[in-house]
Amino acid sequence: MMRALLIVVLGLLMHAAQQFAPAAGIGSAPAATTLACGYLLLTAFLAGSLFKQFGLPKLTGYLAAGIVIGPQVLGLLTPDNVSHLRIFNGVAIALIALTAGSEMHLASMRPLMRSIAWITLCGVLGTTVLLAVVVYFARSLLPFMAELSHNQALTLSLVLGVTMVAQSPAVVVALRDETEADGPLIRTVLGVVVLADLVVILMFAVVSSLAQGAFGAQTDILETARKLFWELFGSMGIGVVVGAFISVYLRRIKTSGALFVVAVAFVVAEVGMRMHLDPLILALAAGMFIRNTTPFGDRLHREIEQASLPVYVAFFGVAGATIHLDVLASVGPAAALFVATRAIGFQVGNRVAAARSGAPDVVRRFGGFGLMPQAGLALALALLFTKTFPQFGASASALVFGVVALNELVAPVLFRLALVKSGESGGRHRMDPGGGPTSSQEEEQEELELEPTPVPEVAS
Amino acid sequence: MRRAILAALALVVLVVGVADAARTSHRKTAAAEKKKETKKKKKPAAAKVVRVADAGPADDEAVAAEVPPADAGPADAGPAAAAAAGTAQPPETLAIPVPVPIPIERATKPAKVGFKLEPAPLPPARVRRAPTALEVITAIIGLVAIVGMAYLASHPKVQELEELLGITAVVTAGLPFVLFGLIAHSKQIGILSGSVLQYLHPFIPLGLGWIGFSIGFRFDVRRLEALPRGVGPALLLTSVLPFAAIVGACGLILLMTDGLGHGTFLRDAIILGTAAIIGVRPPAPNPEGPSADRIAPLVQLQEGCAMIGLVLVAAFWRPSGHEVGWQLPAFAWIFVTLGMGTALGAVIYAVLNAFRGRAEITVLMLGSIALAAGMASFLRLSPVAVCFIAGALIFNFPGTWKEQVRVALVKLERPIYLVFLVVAGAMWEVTAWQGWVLLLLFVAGRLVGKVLGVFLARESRLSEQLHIELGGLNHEERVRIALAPMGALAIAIVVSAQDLYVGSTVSWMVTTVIGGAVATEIVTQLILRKLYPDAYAVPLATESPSGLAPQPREATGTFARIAEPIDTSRPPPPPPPMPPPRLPGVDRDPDEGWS
Repeated sequence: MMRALLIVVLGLLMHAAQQFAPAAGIGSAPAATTLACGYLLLTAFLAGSLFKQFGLPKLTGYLAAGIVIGPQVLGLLTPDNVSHLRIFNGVAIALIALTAGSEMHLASMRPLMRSIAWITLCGVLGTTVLLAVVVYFARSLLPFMAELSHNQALTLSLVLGVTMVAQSPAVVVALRDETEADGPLIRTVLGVVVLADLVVILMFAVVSSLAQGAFGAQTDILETARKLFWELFGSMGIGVVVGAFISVYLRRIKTSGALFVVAVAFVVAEVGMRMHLDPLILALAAGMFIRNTTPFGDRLHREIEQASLPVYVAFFGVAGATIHLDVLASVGPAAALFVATRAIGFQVGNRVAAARSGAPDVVRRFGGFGLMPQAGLALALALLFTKTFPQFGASASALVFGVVALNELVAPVLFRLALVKSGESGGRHRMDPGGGPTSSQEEEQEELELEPTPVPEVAS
Repeated sequence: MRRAILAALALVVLVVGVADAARTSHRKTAAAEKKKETKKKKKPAAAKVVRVADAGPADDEAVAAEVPPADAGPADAGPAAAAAAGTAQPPETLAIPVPVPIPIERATKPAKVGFKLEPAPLPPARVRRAPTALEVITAIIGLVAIVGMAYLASHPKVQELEELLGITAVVTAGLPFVLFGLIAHSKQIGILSGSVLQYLHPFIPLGLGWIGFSIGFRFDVRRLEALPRGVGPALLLTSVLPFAAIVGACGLILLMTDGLGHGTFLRDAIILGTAAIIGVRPPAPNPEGPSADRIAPLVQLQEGCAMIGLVLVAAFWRPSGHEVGWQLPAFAWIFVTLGMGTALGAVIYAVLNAFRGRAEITVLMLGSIALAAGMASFLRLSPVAVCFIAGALIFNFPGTWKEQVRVALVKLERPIYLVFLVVAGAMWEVTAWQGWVLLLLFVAGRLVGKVLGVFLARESRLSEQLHIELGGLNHEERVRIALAPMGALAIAIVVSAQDLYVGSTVSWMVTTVIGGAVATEIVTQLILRKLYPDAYAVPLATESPSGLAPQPREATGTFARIAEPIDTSRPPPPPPPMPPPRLPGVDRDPDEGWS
């Protein structure tokens, strides 16, 4: 009750500030960004804790807060505010990829590799084909495909299928941290979504080149291959270098690791994007390097845990504020069809792959739910699609935005439910051998070491 | 003590009241002149017609005069929008006469007759251009260099060099990062270009708010009530005299160089005077154990006075014009500031009470301070002052989370502060000679004012004449007050002014205060080395600019025991028994000190 009241009070304060505010364009923009950031952090965090009380994922609360206070509903965050706050996106993706990479201990994941490979093949690739087929046969629902030839429709269906199949390591990692889950299900799902992202990027490059050819655009295959090579392998190589740099810092300097990691994530996101690298792959490679070749994997994970919460809250809050609810109204039926197709494809593909590879029963029953969440990569591919096919890219992107919006709202709830029902929720504490302090115990120790400022007594 | 505070407040109110009266007088005179001009004209004054039905196009001047702010949100933001919300409006326009606002152009012309103060011009619209890839990459590389520099600064060899040069306190205040920002912004280097600075500009309110909140979070009202008699008035003299000296000297120079114009000379002089008040050297360690530092609480009193100055300046010198919403009298803005700080403090207090975890506290502190600082800066108020009020309110109410909040503040204080300093340094213009002239007056005025105040405080005849108890300070305390350094708050004050106002005089103030901090530290340490060579010890760096972090165990102060030399013929007395350890998060017991 108090949290709901605080959300209302914050909203009133923000509304009052907007009424008092001077007109835009007379120098208030930096303060507006700071104000919007503070308001978003507090409101999203309170909403997340409120949702948790109702048994829903916190990140759904963050998303919901972003939707409600964003430009589409209450307008307490303006489009300018939201665009300025997008700086959190890159940092969050890099941190999430670092976390995912630091979790991927190849030696311990070896028993799961077969399952991961089969689920990626059947679940992800199979769902891509299924989505492409459904798009092709349901193209009468899509006005922008009405006047396309057979080849054009086919290639465009493939592109849309690849775009809509993209998953979200961000949501998987956030839910894993929230539920403190550990076990074969979450490890398999994490491995699949990470591998699937690489596969999706590769597939998108290939199918978009095919589609460009079908639409008469001249494509330079060598140039495309070069760019793809740089994006994938260049990111991996530079990621290894960044991982080495981080491990040197963790070895030499015992404090401020969390801030250093955030700074590295910021650099990776901003510089990597402008150098046409993939920050997700780069950070993933860095995290995997540290986990598998240095003894600082656990420490990196703890440092990220300390620093990541504000970034995640802002990231999902901004994601909610950028959900296009107006798009849902126009593409709702088609988007719902593709969301359902996607979910069915993942469930069936996961079960087939799990049975084929001999995966644990919990993976067979619940693994499909972990593949359903969707966020940044799909949106990034949709924007790229818009740039590549300007003649109808906006309409197609609107469809993808609608699919992503529905998946962002529904999928985390289902996956959280799956984690709870699978029994892996809270598994991280159960699997702690108890030999060393947990991260929360180490935090208490650090607090004790920070002695309070000695205030001399005032002489009477 | 109470009388002294009342006297100081009366002095400040008198000064700003004069300024406000002058501005009111100008407005009346301007209104009278306008009436005369209106009567002389044959045609009536232009009453522009607002087309309510299609309120929206930005190129319609008349509509623009009534169009609500772009980010006002819902349709209740202005009369035009309210009328437009009525769907019954026909497509035909509905003429509503609107009085012509005073054009901003007229406000820039100096007054013709008498003592008139024109309203300050609005800051120019900042055109935001997205930084290019190269700019971002160079900015990132520059920021990485900052991190490396911060790492090197902690190297023992570098610290030895700082001690040799006597600039430890200056370095601790973060001045090298200001210089880095200055160099990085230069055209030759180009790391922090204009567009990148715009990108990083939101750090300014956040950094200011963080400092203000951190300082407010150690403002303990209960300790102020326990001040020994005579100490308060003595320190009041050492605060008011430097303030008056600097306001007088710098105000005169500003008046001569900038002119009467907008009355900003007085504003700038008050800001400089406010920055000069702050500063007391930390005490020397007592070999016999922890000793009572009687004047430590008065550092907080000085900071409180500085906040009052910021509140008054932000209230009395505000941007005006038809583009600014809510035209309130100056005293109303004082109440708005106090109310905002109190309301935000109450909200933050309620939020903190609802959560317990350490990671949650970090998010909540980031969000709370960004909200408070952003809101204050958005309304053209001082983020330092508003966040100070919020922090002080939170600290002085009960709560078991205070230690966690303190840890969270300390943890992020240094990085936020350093980035804030870099951005502040990048906005600093060093080429204006006026700033360097003001620097000399500033340093001299501050030093003379504090020494004079200390001198007067020990005069028994003055004590008899004023019928108040002076002379409560011992020799060491008087020297600590007279030869006091300037700290992070002084820099925050002038950067806050830079955030609120535009104009050449603002950059002069930045030169004055930042240069003054360096010069003050060097001069005072030279004096100390000369006057007390045997007892002099170079102060070591502290962990946080606001002083929230614990001092290093081996921290030394200005000098060791001056008044009473240590008798080495006798064995040292045994150390006092250590207090029992306290669990973290335990609330503070006012009788036993910090927990």
